[in-house]
Amino acid sequence: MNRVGWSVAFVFSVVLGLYLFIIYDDEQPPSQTDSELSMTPTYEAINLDSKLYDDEGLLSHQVSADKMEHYQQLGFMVFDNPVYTVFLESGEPWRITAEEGTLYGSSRIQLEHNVKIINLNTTEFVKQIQTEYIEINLDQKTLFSDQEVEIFGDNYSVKSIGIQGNLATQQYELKQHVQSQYFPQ
Amino acid sequence: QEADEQSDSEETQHNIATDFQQTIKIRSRNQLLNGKSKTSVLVDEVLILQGSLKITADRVEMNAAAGKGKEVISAIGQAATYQQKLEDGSLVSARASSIKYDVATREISLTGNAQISQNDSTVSADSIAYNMTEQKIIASTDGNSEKTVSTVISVGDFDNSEDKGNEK
Repeated sequence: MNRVGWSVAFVFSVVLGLYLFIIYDDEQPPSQTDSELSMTPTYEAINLDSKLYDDEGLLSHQVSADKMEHYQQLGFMVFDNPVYTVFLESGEPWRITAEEGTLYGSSRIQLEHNVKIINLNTTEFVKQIQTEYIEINLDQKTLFSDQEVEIFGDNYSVKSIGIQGNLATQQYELKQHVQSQYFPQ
Repeated sequence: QEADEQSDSEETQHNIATDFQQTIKIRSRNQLLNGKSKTSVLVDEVLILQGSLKITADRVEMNAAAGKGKEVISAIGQAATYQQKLEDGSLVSARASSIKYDVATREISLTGNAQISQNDSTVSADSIAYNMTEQKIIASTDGNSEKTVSTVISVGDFDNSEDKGNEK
């Protein structure tokens, strides 16, 4: 076969190869990589309501949420509009609400946007804590934030940047630029 | 910033006659709040404002256990200071190692190198109790110190409910 014949054969095989690749490429579904797999929730729950008990069988905390997504591989759960009720040995519960919550493991929760921590025991001095971001350890009942926080009581309010505290002992350290107000009676 | 300007302008409008109806504002760098004992410890550059009443200190303990409007504020410092504007526009000012302000009785107790001044009058003693609404001084010295109350009074400045210069 002379030179012209070879070049025609060559062009023909390139075109054929391209044609097959395009067809072949369409049929095979794209394989999900591990990272994509872990980004999709392992399971979801709608209108969730669940109770958690401590080692002695006492109710430690209860959570309800519009929606919960559990990311098993990444090791956390994401809640929409979670409502947490935290129970203490002395029985006074705290109700914690936020627009978003992320639970790491079984006890470390990060709450964001419109976070309210409300003392359901009305005779207590610290009635409510408000912030846009806080991290709570549901087992140790400790809380931490590096954002603006406001604490309210019957006739006072305290505003600060940052807080470290404990809902059980009710000790709170307000970190910076603290402004307290005591309203006249 | 805005809160600062508002407090400063508030301060100028008020005096001892209207101060006690105002909100008590306390600024500090750090604060420990104990919800169980209803107390707070405020530390570093503590400033207390209530209308024209101003107390400064390094450390303040706020005890609200007695209930609303019965807080007791104890200000401790190198020299805690107090100042307030009287109705005639003049200032009464004081300094001591510690100043305790009882919100309910509107009395301040100065302890440790206490000194209170108004116009040209100055009273110095180990401890002084001063009723802000009645502008009454109860000057006293610590029992075991030779120091007597030294009072320099211009007529009518302070209404001192004890005889001047008596020793305790």
